[in-house]
Amino acid sequence: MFALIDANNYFVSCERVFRPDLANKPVVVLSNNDGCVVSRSSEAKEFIPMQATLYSIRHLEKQGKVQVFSSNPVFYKDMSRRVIETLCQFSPDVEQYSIDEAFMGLHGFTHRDLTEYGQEIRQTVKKWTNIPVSIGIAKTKTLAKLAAHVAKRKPECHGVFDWNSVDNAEPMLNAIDVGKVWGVGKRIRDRLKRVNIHTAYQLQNADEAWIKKLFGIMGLRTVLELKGTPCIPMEPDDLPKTMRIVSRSFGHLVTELSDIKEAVATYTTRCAEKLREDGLAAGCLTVSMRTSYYRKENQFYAARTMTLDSPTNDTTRLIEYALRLVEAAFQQGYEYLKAKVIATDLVSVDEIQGNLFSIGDDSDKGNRLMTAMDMINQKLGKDSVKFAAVGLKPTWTMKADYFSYRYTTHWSEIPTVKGYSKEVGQPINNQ
Amino acid sequence: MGFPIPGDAIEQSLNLNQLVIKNSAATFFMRVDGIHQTGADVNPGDVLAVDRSLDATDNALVVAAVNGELAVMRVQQVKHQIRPIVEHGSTQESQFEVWGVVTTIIRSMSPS
Repeated sequence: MFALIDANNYFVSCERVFRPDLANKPVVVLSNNDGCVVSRSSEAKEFIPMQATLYSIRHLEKQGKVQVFSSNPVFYKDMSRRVIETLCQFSPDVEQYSIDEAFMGLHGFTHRDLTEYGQEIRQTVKKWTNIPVSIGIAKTKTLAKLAAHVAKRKPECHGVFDWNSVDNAEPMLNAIDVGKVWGVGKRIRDRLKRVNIHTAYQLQNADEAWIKKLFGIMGLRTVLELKGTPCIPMEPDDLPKTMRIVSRSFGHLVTELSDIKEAVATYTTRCAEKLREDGLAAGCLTVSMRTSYYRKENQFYAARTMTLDSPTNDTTRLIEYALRLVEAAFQQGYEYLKAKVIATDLVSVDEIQGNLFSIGDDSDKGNRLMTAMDMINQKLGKDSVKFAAVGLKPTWTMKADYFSYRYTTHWSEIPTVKGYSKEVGQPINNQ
Repeated sequence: MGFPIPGDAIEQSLNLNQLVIKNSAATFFMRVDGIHQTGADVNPGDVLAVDRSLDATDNALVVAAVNGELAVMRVQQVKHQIRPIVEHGSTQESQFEVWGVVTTIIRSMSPS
């Protein structure tokens, strides 16, 4: 059994998290660069079409008839992380499918009333994160997606719909356009319509051999899924997210601290580049060094680890930490052969949570510097710009005139609340 | 090989997040705005850790939405209802909903 958890008007819902004044008001969110409308509140859906240009709604915005926001991807990703974390309370099997959708495996939960369980999940996500979601439950992923579609549209579902709760699904499936079925894109939809398949029900009951001939194995898979035969399993999480290692033997045996420091700084630079390539930041850094295994005497191995105040992939910061670890680990009197830099506790850069100790941390500037360095080094060859170069600033900026705040990832942008006095419960007047 | 040997590693530093954030999905930070008021629970500039997963109890400090605005206040339980603590006369009912429960107040003692 599968559930699909789908956030309602996700970007708009994010913008409302800290803005109770926007409840029940028309709100839209624009695409990157303020291109067109990509998310609408239900109130806005009544008079603003999807993908409307900013130009076409500017007069409504000026008249105060709709609240417009530029895209705020950093904030949306952090809220998405929170929703997924909440879902993980309910099943060990959670797969994020997109920024606003996740599948949940419900194998072994079948003794429960799944509609009830769905309600519990939905209410908990709303309570913890303030994001409203709809939940579809069914025997297959494809049906779960359709169930979520139903849950969103039928008020009597209260946001949760389980296909198994209806005896005859035909009328409902017949009311759903075939283009809404997962895996049916615009082109396949047009082809299906040409062969007279217009609804999800018609596709479900199409001849399997005929579908396979026309649409291949993927088409057959969709039909089987619609019939309730699971063909698409839960995908495991991205695996390679665990660590990044740079380790090398020195060209010759090394005895001096200053030499090892130089080597480790170089390895750390490489390690930071790897992290940035993969959009990751390290929460923990380890440096180790050792003598040759093939020596009978005077063998030595040492490693030091530290947890960083906040995850980073900034070469400056990582080198600073790595050198401190080298100093802590290094012992005079050995001939070293090899050193290693290991970055662990990796997180996606967009998920980095504000940390109490990083107040005033100018990490944005660091990010831009790193991006610029990586770009130059990619174009002109490795190490064209090395680490003493500072002050590089990209001249481009994104167009975003209606930007809200990165409420949950930047200390200078956290939401404000009004203070109330203890005695009378009256607002402290803002001057 | 290559991993730190237990006991050999330098002590890790304390992580304040561990102390303040019990539920990382539901904890949000907010800054108090307004002017100083003697006897108030919070001062302007204070940073609040607010946990939405907790239920407000009698006399809890909460962030609540009042007439569409987020504000920090003490609440009381009247029968099964959580209401703001209000004395003298100001009984006029406003739109009120608890947003989250304040678990920690972070107050910087140096002027920023």
